[in-house]
Amino acid sequence: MFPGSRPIAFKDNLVPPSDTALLATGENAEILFPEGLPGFVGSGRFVLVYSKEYAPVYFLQSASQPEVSLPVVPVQAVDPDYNLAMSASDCELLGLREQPCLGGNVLCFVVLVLASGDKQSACNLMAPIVVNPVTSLAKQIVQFESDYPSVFPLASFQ
Amino acid sequence: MLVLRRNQGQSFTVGDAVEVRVLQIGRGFVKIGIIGPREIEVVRTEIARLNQNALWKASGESDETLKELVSHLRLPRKAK
Repeated sequence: MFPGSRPIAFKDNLVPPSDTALLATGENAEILFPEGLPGFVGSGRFVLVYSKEYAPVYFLQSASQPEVSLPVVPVQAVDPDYNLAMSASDCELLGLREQPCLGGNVLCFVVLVLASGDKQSACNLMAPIVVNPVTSLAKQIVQFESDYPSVFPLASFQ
Repeated sequence: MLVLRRNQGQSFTVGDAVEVRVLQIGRGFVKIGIIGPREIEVVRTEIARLNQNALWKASGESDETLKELVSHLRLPRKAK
């Protein structure tokens, strides 16, 4: 865990609660991207901002640049059967001792791109953001061997 | 933009530290190998651009769009 952070708290430790909320604490959680977040230079420190108003969407907000804030949603809200793959080096980077398990030892979010002009809302299934809630370490991990699209239209959700 | 013509198996270097090698050429794609120090970050351009396009712009329009979207997003209930 990096200095100044505290573990992301779950009810029942790492087990998500049985209802619709994945992170049920209602609190913000600081996380660190050791390799940074693609597209943004500078510190890899971010805060997962919980907003009851927009749940299950969270905002991934830069700790050093408040104007950098991205809406993200647990991947299970888009694809309950999402198949996450991680290399051994990525597991090591996040401090995972076992293979990743959604709803178990990792949190997995996809970045939302909201509708603008003639473009509809979409999410990036190709490169989910994976968080180890124990170490508070995170990485946006490209799914090399999958066919998940980087722009997955959410028209069917509206 | 500098344009280089390379065949499969050939490479080029960027500065002193990074070598870029053409591993495979297929129909409509090339497979690239990059050799360099771990501290030099390699990022897929489209992923970085998508993240930048996702920046939240606090406005009434964004607020309405997101609220409409989240009304349809639901986390699956955990099996009991």
